[in-house]
Amino acid sequence: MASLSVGAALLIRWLLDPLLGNNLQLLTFYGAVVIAVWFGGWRPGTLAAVLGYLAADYLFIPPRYQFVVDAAAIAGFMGYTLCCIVIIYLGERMHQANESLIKESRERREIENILAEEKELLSTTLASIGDAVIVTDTRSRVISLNAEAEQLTGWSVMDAIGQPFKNVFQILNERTGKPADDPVEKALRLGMATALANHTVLVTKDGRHVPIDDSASPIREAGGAVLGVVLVFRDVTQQRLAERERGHLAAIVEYSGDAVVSKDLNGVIQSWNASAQRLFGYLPDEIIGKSVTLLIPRDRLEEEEQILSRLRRGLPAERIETLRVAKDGRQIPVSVSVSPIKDKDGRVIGASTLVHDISERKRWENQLADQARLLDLSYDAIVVRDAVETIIYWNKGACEAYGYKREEAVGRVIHELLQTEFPEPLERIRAKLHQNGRWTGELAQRRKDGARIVVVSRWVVDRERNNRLGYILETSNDITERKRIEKQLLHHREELEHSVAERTAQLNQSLRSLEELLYTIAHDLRAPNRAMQGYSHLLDAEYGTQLDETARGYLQRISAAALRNDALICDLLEFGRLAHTDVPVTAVDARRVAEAAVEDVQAEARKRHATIEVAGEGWPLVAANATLLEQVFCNLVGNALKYVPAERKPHIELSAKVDHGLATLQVKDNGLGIPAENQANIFEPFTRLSNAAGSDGTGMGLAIVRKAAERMRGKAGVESQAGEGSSFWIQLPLAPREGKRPRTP
Amino acid sequence: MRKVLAYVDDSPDDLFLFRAACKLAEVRLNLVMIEGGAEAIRYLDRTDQYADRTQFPEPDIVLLDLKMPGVDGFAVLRHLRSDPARAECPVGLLTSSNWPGDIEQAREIGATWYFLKPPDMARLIEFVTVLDECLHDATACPKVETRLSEFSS
Repeated sequence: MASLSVGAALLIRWLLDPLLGNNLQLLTFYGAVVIAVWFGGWRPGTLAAVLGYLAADYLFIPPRYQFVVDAAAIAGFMGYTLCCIVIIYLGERMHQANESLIKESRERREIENILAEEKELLSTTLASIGDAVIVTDTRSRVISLNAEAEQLTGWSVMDAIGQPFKNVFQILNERTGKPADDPVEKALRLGMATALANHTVLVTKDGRHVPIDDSASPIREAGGAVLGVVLVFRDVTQQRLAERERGHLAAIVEYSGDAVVSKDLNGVIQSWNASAQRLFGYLPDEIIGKSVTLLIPRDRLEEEEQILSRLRRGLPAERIETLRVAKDGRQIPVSVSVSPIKDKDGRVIGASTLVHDISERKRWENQLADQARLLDLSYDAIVVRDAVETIIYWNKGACEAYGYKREEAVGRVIHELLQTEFPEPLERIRAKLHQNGRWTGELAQRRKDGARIVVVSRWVVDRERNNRLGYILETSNDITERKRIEKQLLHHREELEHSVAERTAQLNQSLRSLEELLYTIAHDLRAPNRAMQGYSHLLDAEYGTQLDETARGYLQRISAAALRNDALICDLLEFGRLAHTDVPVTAVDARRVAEAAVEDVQAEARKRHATIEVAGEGWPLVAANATLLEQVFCNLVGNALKYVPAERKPHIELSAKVDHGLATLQVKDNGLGIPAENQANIFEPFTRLSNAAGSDGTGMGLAIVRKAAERMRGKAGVESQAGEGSSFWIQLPLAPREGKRPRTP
Repeated sequence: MRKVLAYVDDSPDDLFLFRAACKLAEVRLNLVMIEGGAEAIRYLDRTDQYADRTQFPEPDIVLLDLKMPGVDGFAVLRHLRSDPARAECPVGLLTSSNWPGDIEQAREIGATWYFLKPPDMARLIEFVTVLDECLHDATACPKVETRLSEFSS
């Protein structure tokens, strides 16, 4: 550097030499020193000064081309040296300053490079991490946010930068719905990291609510002053769902009515829920970590071995019903289901055991078994089925009736199995069953051997407490045989009825013939009577004058005998007819019949100067046969006229009264009366009172009265005292009220 | 002009006594006594000697006994009613049968009256007397629905 600069200075001075001559010989060499010092420091500067002087002294200072030491030279040299020292000193200082400046700027460039790299790294990191990050300054203004934050908040970087943090990051308490604390403000206020309260939701720019988790930390510079806040948050929607699900599952397990116990493959208990505690009596602390064999009766330990060996092979254990031991030593009937617990890779790491207390059911089953034994004693087929008609119980009687064994029947749908035919639509039966709790009917069913049978089935519902249909008890009797017999009986009955009808018709026919015969006989028997009477009359009328008193008396006797014979035949006929002919009964006005009867005997009454009164009131409508009733009245009034002492004028009263639904019709006279000893038999046929005044009675009149009364579902009787008149009565049922048909006996 | 009464009965006694009663009652009737149903049919049909209407006049009233061998009273009544000219002729059944079936049948076939034979001569005389009055004076006539006991005991 020194040589170059001196060389350059030498060249320039040499070129300028013609111009300068011997003046300013050292001028350019000052420049060389300056340059050497600037670029090379004091050492090249000093060298350049020495070399420059030597060159200048030799070449340009007169005398040229030789070194002369004189005063002038020394003075010049001194000045030059002085000048050079000053230049070198100053140049050195400048050189040094420049050097450090260059170094400094180079270092700065290097730091800037590092920083840029770091920043790149940081932003790449921020962009690539799943969490959203927002940075604010101390005045809560957003300085930056990463892509995830953009996406979560809905704010773009362009819109968000410089905005108040609260605008960009609005959060609510998920439970209360009220704005939650501003984490940035809190971090700034407290000067320390804060985490968001649980249950925070972020309200995005477009109004969606997103559950988040976050934390805010103040950013401090080296000195500790807070520069801003960095907020890190993330979407926890999935996490929340998972948590909720886990919470549900945990709650289910914890509050499950069944004991839930988990164990590892060595049979060591890992978890113990509340029901397990309740069932076995161990607290979780007492049992977790202990062997599950604590819960197993000694004689059943191989059970657990089998369960574990199945589990190790990854197979779920079948549900088994067994016994387990409680803390107090009690053995509890339980059903146990074991399922393997697998890790993420599908390896079995343990098992979860569900233990269900079945003591109640066992008790019930035992009770049921007892009852079932009793039910088996019944000859009836007894079937218990549930509401969907699945057979639950099937007694021995059912086995015998249908031919299906219990195990063949239980679990089947009853009326499918038996191919039941119902007497009415099943829907209607179900409705009745639901409404009344019971149903009875005849069903046609099919036995296992294919035979169709008929049963009488009684269904009763065992209602559950909530009144829903529970079990239904069907009790059935095989009535096939009975049905067959019934059918036969019906057939026999029909035959019988038929033959009875035939016989009745025959009987009626012969009865009619008999009746006709009777009339014919009567007709033929009566004709001679008429003839006897007639000829006696004619004899008396035409030849009476030629006969004496005695002969005429005989004639009268013949005539009377003929008449009595005729009357007797008529009465017998009447009595016989009463006994066997139909007596149609209608509603009859008793008063009108009484009046008609009185009218019939009017001639006789006049002859005897009798008074006959028919009561004006109290006459009911009776159920009677008008003709018969009239005859009854005729006979009674006729008797009343007949059996009166000769000196007494007959007085007859007809009346009626109603008592207890019966009408009593009365014929009261003032005649001879009937001695008490005779009252019992006067209604018998052919009974005539010995003290009868006339001889014209047949002895049939009262018999006809009683028979007639009986044929009309009534009775006849008399109240009388000898000498004080009689009161004959007949009792008849009242006519049914209007609207009802009269009865026909 | 005397009314003609024909009385048909199979019993000669009844015919005789009826005629005697009429005589005793001095009825103003021209009596035609016919013995038996078959004979009555022949009379009504004007068979053989009955063609002579002067000797065998057309009856103004017919009394029929019911129970007669062969042709009974119903048959004679039916025969009478089958002739339009005799549809209105008063016909009384005079019988000792009070069998309801007979009464009903008589009504169905078209008998004007149903009389029970009076059981004694006195009442027979009374009967023919009323009958005589009836034939000469319609107001005294017993109605179709005559009570059976009207002329009987």
